[in-house]
Amino acid sequence: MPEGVATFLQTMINGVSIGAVYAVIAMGLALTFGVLKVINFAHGEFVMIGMYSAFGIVIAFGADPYVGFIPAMLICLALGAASYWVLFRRIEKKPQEDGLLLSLGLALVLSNFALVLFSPDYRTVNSRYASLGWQLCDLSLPVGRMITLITIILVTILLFLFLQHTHIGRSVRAASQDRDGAALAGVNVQWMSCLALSIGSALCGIAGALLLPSLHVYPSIGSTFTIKAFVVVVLGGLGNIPGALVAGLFLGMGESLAAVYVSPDFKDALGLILFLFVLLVRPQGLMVRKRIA
Amino acid sequence: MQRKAILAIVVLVIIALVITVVVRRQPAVQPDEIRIGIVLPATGKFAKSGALQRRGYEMALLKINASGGLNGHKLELVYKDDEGKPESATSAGEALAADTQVLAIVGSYSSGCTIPLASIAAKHRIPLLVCNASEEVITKQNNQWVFRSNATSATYASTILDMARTVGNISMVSILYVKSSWGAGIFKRAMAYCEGHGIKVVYSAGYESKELDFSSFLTKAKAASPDALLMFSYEVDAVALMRTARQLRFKPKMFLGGGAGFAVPSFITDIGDTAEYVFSVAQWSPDVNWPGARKFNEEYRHKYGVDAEYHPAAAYAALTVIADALRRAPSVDRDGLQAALKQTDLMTLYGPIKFVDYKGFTNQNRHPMLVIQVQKQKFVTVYPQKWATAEAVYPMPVWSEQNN
Repeated sequence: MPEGVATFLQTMINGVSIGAVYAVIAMGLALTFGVLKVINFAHGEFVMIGMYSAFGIVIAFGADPYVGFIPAMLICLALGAASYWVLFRRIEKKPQEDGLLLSLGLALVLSNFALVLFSPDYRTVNSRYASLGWQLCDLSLPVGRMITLITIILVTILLFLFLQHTHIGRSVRAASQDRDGAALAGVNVQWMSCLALSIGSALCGIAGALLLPSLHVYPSIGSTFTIKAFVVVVLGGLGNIPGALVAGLFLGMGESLAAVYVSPDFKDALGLILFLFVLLVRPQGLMVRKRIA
Repeated sequence: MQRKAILAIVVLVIIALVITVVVRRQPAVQPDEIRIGIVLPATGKFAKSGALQRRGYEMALLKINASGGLNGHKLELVYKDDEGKPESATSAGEALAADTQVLAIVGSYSSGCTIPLASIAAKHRIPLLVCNASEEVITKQNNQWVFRSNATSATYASTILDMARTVGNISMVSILYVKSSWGAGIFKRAMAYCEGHGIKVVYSAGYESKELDFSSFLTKAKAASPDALLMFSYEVDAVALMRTARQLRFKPKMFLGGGAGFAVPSFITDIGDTAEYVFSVAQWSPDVNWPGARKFNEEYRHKYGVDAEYHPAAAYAALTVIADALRRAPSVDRDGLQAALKQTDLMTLYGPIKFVDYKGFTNQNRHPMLVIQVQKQKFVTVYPQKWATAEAVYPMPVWSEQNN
């Protein structure tokens, strides 16, 4: 394979694997925003919680870090539900700013709680096969990233099946589209909000656990993910879950291409430039058809 | 509403009172104790390296006090955490300088945190002994209050590249460096060396220290087909870079680490056999023949269960230098200590230490460096010949031979 082509394809593979992670975190945020109508600044903190949960499972039980995503998912599901019942439920009827401030407060509490529990040290786990790469012609498919990608694809398929084909899933979408209308149609919007926040947090937990073998976890890592999730959700359209999926992949590939073909400095800048561009020119998001007001 | 406000104020006042009572006060200084301040990263992204330094300081403290202290006075260390952040280093330095009982400051780990300490040293006229930070500028400001025992970035760059060139015949290199004071400075030194010695830099890039994903950097570095990959990274990024390099099956003839994250024990324990055969430049290693080096390593291994490396050795040597200076000082105060430090001419386990002015440097010790390599999950010295205890292994065994 000619070298230029190999580099390009490798860049695309790298981009898709990181894009899938952005996508799954962003889909969680889109789901949360769609139903609760709250800009959740604590979203990235659940990724951090997922990472620490997986870390804890590996250290305590010697488990494989990639299996750790199941307990991480469950822990985040529970914490998401708890944050709804204790906190977000109380600001449902209040103006949007209250939810925003509440989520900011939650983010601070979660990261500082992690700081106290785990110390500011950077932790990681060593997974032998996570560093391996399968060889395909001249390309490398890193094992860890492929496992991550496949898991995320399965989770996404399950999520879409849930939302499209189950009664509860349709109720969640109804609550997202028109809260009062859904309530009138007999949907228990409080339960739907709780479910949305729980699933959104669980998705973060999965992402965090899958990322742990390639990254170091530390208490303030959450904010990095919150920002990425926001960029993706704005690109895809607030509350639009398929939009978040496409935009996440798009951002991941875009960053990868920019880093290799323009300049590595441009990597993070690209996302933010797109973010500003979309907000100015097409605020409803790239994936959403213009609604007639 | 007013009642709630009053209640809130009362609660805050109670909390403030509780805090002032509960917070432990510094024990009153015994009049015959000598205090030395130590700034290191106890928490944050350099915590592992800070912990290693602390071991060296503690071992030196025990040794000094066990052999009668300093002219009959006990030595006491005052530790301050700089969290790996320059702002925290500044407040740590200011706090130590303000404590009139503290005669000198030793530290810190990173150049970013040591640069503000140097200004504080000059401002408050308190001696600063740098034993790890390597950025040139720290001793290039004609600052009479800053002394440095370790080698500078230029030596880091030239030592590792000398080894690569003479031992491995490397002529093309890709360079990746962390964008910190240290990383940016040492990168410039490396570029200057390459230019002066005919090594072609086929790709170079700096990355933010918060970088999560190195695949694009390494894809590009690999595409440039270098003989060697040279990396200037701290503990977290060094691990991430090697993991990603392996995932991408990027295996140049040599992986060259510029010290820091590549020379700490966690580099090996975090990634296991992915660390094998990675070279790094180092300030010291357990098998050099400076007097006391092997004995220090034995004591360290007895106490901590692992071999020592340059961070604790440099810390230990730094306190040895301070102790020596205090014994010679005309007066036991900051000025006296500064004068005595200037006259230092001491052979330690870290080699000869003498603070000289040369080529724009002030109070810089001309410390030679070594190159170590990870072989069978241990660091061994491979260069220069006079201190080498093992042969360098190169080129890197092909991935499939190593079972990827």
